[in-house]
Amino acid sequence: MSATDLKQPAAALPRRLPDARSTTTFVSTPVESISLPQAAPPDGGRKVGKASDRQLGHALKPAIEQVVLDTLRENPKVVIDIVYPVLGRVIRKSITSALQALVASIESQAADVFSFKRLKWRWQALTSDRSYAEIVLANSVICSVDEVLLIHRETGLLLVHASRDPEHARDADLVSSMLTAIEDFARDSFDLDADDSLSSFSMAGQTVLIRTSPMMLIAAAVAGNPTSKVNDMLDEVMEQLHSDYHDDLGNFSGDVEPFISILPVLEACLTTETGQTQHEQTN
Amino acid sequence: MSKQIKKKICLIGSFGVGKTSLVSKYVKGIFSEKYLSTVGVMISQKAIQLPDCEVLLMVWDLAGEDDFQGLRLSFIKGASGVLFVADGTRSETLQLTQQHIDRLGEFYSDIPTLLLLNKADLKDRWEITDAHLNDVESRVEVFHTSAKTGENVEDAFSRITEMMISPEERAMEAFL
Ligand SMILES: Nc1nc2c(ncn2[C@@H]2O[C@H](COP(=O)(O)OP(=O)(O)OP(=O)(O)O)[C@@H](O)[C@H]2O)c(=O)[nH]1
Ligand SMILES: [Mg+2]
Repeated sequence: MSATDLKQPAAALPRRLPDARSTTTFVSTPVESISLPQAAPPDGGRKVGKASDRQLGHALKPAIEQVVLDTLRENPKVVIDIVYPVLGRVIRKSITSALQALVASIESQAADVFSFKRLKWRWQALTSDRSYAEIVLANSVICSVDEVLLIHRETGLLLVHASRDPEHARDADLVSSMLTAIEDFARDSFDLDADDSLSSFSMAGQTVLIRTSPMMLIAAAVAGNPTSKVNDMLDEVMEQLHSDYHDDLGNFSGDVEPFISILPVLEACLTTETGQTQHEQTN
Repeated sequence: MSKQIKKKICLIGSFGVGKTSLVSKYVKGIFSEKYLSTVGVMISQKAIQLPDCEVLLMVWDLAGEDDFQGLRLSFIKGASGVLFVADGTRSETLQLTQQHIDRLGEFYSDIPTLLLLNKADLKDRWEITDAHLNDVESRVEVFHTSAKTGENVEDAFSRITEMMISPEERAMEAFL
């Protein structure tokens, strides 16, 4: 009997999915993340105003907090609408700083390694206005698609799974169900239409790209920054599978046999993108 | 190796009736007295060997809801079977289950369902009596379970699995 649940220190995606104590949760209360916009200081920020502003702030705080809590209770969607763009900004910011950290780590890794190629990059750095680290990054792996899952939309059941690491296969069924639940939850919470969907989310340096059609869901786990080429590739695969397997998807009742022939298509998606442009590659 | 069929099932019922405990007992063989209420949904998997095929059960343990309004239909869609769970020591959880059965019937009328009356180890404290069950037993097969002792837990999951694997599907298997 194989019996696992998401609590196990799984090797694949589950590590990066939310895991709260014994229960797998992805419904979080946004209360803690709400911060009210600060009152803008008067032009020039005159000193006189500051003390009384603070007193006013103190006096208003309980009332404002109450209003926020009441709104939350009565109409959580409004609050989600407000919080969502803020979260988006925070996420973007953390991605940018993660990228900066990556650039920095490449700089330190590369700095003490002597090679002709790197000397050439050093030279490029000296003669252009790009930093050495930037040039190394441009010549390094930008993203790699590590896993692709094809999931039946309605049931959340895994149809086909391609992975660089076969170890990950045993968790793929759970991950599929979780992704479907997250996708459904996001659609309910953000009041999206049926054709809209979550298109990606990031966690711990990994991005999960998601493509949906009414009948299926394709999820790709990408390390690094997904390029537009990777995005386009998923769109194409989605379209192709949608027309080729329309009937099988409609009739699906738990037997994945008709979908085995999709495996090579998904395996072809396990690509690695480097920052090299065509003419640089010739060296 | 025999062929594998995948099926999604859901557990539905009030707060604290023992949905998570039943899944944990069934999947991991573990019972805990500690109550950690589920938020959203917890998903587990378990493979069951039937004579002619292996069934991979994806078990969706939904957060307890006290009315059907709060129940997330989007989590139930695509399920091949539903286990309703009520707590024998609290009769109101059975009333709620009856509402759940009615409402679910409006959306998914033809999927197999079972009712698990849980906490059978506390029978001396049960509020639910046979009289309560007359009506419900005509509509759904009932199992008296205990997540604590494991009584009927395996049987209930096996039964719903059997009900989900339709006779035609099995005949096909034998033929191939
Ligand atoms: N004695 C006894 N206690 C049980 C049994 N099943 C569950 N419990 C206890 O009841 C409490 C609630 O169990 P859970 O499994 O968390 O209930 P739940 O239905 O998942 O609750 P929610 O996630 O809030 O909907 C826990 O303290 C369990 O230990 C049982 O069969 N016998
Ligand atoms: Mg629970």
